[in-house]
Amino acid sequence: MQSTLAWPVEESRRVPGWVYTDPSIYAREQERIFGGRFWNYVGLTAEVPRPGDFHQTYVGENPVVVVRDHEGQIRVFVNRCTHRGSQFCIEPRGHADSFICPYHQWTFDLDGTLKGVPFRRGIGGKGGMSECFDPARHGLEQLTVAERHGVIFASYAKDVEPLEDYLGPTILSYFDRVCDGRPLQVIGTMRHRVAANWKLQVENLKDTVHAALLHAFFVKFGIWRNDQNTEIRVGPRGASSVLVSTASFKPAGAAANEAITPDFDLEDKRIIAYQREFEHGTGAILTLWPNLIILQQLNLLAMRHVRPAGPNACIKSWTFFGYEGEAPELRKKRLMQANLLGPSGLITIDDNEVLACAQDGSAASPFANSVLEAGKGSGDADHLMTESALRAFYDCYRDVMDL
Amino acid sequence: MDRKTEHRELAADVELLYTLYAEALDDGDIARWPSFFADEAPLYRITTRENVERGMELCFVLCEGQAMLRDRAIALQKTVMHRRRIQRRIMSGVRLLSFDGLDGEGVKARATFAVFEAMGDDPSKLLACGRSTDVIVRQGGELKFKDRLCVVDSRVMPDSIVFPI
Repeated sequence: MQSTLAWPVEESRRVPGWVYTDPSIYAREQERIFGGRFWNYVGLTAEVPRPGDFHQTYVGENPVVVVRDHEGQIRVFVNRCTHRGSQFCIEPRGHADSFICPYHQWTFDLDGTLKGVPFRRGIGGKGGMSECFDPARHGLEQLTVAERHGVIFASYAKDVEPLEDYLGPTILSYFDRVCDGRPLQVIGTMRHRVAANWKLQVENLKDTVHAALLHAFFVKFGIWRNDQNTEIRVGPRGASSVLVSTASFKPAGAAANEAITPDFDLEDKRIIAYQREFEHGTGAILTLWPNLIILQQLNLLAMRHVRPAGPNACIKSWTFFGYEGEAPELRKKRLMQANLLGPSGLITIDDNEVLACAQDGSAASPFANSVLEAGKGSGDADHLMTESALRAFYDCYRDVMDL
Repeated sequence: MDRKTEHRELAADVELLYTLYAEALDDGDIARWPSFFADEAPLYRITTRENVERGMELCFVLCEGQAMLRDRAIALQKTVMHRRRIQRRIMSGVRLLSFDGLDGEGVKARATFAVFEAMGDDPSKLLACGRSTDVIVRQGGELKFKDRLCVVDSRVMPDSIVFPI
């Protein structure tokens, strides 16, 4: 039984099971990845439209508060009072003029400065804060914030590179394809736990091989086929990637390597009836390092945040959106097609379930390796029968994690 | 029959509808699920308290019409991959909010639901609980759901909600 965690010699063509299960690796990820010089998704500006609006979310597994301050600037704070460590914000979302910790009522302005401490000068001439206490040194811990086209990112690093450089031109162009500057409008959320390591979930959106094999629903209605017009583009360092497809809408035939075709047809096609919204492709699924998936499939638009919840589970938070002022018919299509996604999604259930099986298999054999030998290299491809985006992810991962 | 007795009889019949509905789904008889709904324009939705409180229209499940109910039932049987699970639905606190209109627009009812699920070697765990707000009509002498809205209490579902509530 090995006692040190050494990556296989085949580098990114192998992934050892312990990356999905080992607590020390998980802890290192929190520090190096989620605490590193990277951009973490924390919400949409549409969720905090007015000064004083806030919501809670997570960077890695750390709770943070996203708030628009009185000057209209977006701030992201660690949800921890600088007095004795209590979470100062206990509502998932809301509106506030200031943040008042429930424990001793330390009061913070929306820009994070400590502006009030009860009994600061004592009671009846006795006690109070000592002369060693300088409130200016006890403001809320603040993250670096970036915003582009209504999407908010945060980083623990003060010297993180600008978002545009971080994404690189290709990934940025796909980001701007969906988040193009038109005001976004949230239409609802889905949140559910998946019994799998967060990386298995992120990999699932880089795994082009599984779509037409696992998702029998897709194949049956020609939404996704292995022979359709597709490409994979990989961003700088292998960190981010995009899978672009153009559905053929030909019904499933007897093509090799497709899922078993069930003998069944949809009675009501509104669940997949869509209108073409984007010039290039009908589906583009972006995975932004470390754990954001921007989904555009048919008329479905969603930010999917994969929050790590220990090595063996993650929580998927989907924020579904449309564009402000869009036609009611288009909005209705988005709501109908949402039947395919989330905890009851006729596509997503497949992934949730198989990822739990993947986690169970890895947990039992942490020193066995995944084999990524489909295709070669870690770069772009104009077809789907390759694992290059997966290898690219692990190129970046091994570098960041020193493995 | 006086009004009070009529109401009690209707309440008992409605309670039986919820019981039979839960039994069919607990037995895994998803093919029969659509038959608990009216033929004419039924509506079935599952969403969360969070979405309702925020005034958000998004649902986990949105079925408008019998055809969509049947499509979901067949998709769950024929296309969706899932691990084997045994579910147990507890419907309680069934209460009629109105007693007139059974043969017209329907009567309004609400109930509490709790769905437990057993998978693999684990004991049964709570999957979802919440409240349903429903409209019930009489069709051919039988009671059917015309509108069923299940609102789950928790913000984060502990697992997939594979089968309807």
